[in-house]
Amino acid sequence: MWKLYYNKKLTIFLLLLPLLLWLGIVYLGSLFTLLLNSFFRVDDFSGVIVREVSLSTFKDLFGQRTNLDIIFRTVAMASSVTITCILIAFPIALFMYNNKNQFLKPILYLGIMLPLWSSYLVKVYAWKLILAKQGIVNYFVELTSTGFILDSILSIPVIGGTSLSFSYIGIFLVFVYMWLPYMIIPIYASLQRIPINLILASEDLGATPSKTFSKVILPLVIPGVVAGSIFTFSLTLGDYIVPTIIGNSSYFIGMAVYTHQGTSGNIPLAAAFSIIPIVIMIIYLILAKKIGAFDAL
Amino acid sequence: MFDIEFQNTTCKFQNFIALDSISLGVKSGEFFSLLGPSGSGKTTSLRLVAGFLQPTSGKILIEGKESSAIPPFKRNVNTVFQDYALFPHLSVFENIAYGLKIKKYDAVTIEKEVTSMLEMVQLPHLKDRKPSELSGGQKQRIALARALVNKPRVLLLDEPLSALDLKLRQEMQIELKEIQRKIGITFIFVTHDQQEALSMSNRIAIFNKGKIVQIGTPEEVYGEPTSEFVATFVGESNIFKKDMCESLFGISKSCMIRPENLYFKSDSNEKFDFEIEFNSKDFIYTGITMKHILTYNNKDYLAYSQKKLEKNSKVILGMYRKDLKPLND
Repeated sequence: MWKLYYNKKLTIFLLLLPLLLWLGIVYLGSLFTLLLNSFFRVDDFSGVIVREVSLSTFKDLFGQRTNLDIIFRTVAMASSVTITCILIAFPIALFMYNNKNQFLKPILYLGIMLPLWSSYLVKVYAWKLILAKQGIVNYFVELTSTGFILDSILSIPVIGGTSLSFSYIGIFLVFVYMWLPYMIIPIYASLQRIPINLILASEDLGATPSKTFSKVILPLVIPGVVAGSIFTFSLTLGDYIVPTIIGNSSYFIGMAVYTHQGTSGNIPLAAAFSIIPIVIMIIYLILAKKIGAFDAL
Repeated sequence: MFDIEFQNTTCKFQNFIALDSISLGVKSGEFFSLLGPSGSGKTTSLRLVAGFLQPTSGKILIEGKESSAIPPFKRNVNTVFQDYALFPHLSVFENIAYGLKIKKYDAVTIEKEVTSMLEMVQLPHLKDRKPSELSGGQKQRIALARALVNKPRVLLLDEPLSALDLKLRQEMQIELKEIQRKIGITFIFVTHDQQEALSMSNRIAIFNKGKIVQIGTPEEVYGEPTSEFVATFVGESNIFKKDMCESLFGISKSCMIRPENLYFKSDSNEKFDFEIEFNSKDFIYTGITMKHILTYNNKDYLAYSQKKLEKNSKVILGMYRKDLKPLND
């Protein structure tokens, strides 16, 4: 027994074995199965899955206008949600970083973390009630007789709709709300990791506070922004609940996957759809690495 | 006129007084050390000069101008930080060029100045490296180059050598001193290492508990300490308390004598002013000499010699009146 303990390599191997098995078989294995399934196809006539490797499912995926629309719609939504989250999260994270008030500190933390503790579905339905035609937003709009503003927003082609809860604007708002904490926390964490002496050194070398921000703080926070955007981007790409409950029932990738593997039984097409977010994220990470987002890590 | 002058400067953090009304003038071209134990206020003083802190009361003059209202980025002083504070996302070249780029120098001048700085610190081959790829000593030199390239009136060094190992530290001490002599600007050097302060400085200010207890040349603070704190903090010393001094030497103050000024009677035929019998307790071999721990009246004293002594034997030590330094306390 003690001999085993002194064999460091064997000990580490045995300790890691369950984890490696889990990662290898359950995690990577299912990803591989997913990938493999996307190369199968459904026989048009019988509806039976033909287990032969071919590209015909991908031909279906990229050959049909509706599928391309779904992909474009989802990517556009994920991008705008991510950009908006960065724009909102950055000032909040900066404020938290600069905040010296010991009383306010836990309140800020709690304000960001608390929504994460409540049920996802509860939050989505709460938003449905806020945005619906008889909802809180409309109530206040009527109270202040500013209906014309809301109407003009809703009359914007494509992103507008009959009400906030039946439009892309509604889906967008809920996504931004849902994923904002995932952006604030990594940005705040990377701000906190900047040694105070770097900021002092920058000022010491003649940089005004705004120069220090753009030349030292911003480049060092980029890895945090990238980490946050991985969350917001991939969570939006894969989500099917928000566009199902809110929105005008136009399809997003997640919904397409859900429908194809369920009702229509087209597992290969569902698999092909779910490959897309993975490929997009891989490209995104490669690009982020290319522009040097991880250099300061 | 002084390059830097403190006038009754006090700095408080909530209830803690970091600096208690200090006054101090640093002359142009001086290598001036602030020496003291940690928490004695020396780094606070440096930060006040850099502008990272504001005095609670009193003044700080830079080149004769009251400067508490001037933000750090407008001061003609630069700092070398204890942890070097090199920008991790920039290369060595870009780190050194940072200050010049901020001041909107043209690319040709920047290239020229940065290259000459890199040559001065003998690291021109590292200009494309990132700070994470440098050793401690290399980071140290780059931090120095980054500050000096701005040609400051005064360079502030915050324990810049404390993270280096002994050998490298001694090399850097000599190199820093040479660089200072070559460019001729004022250095204010914070350290807690008394040997470092003695070997490098033109003058030293010794800090204790937020106050300056003595200012002087290395010879003055070592040879003529005015208080027990300075006597024990700078170098090794033997302290005789007031009542002992009265009976032994007829001096009505406590006194200090350096171990090298205690002579073994058996080794010489000199006529000493005082001769006292000690008990030998132990000795430590230090390489260059034998350090003896002796007792008198149940107190420990230090003396050096080249010989071993038998433990618990009686030895007679001689001393001269001129080597006895009365202390104010």
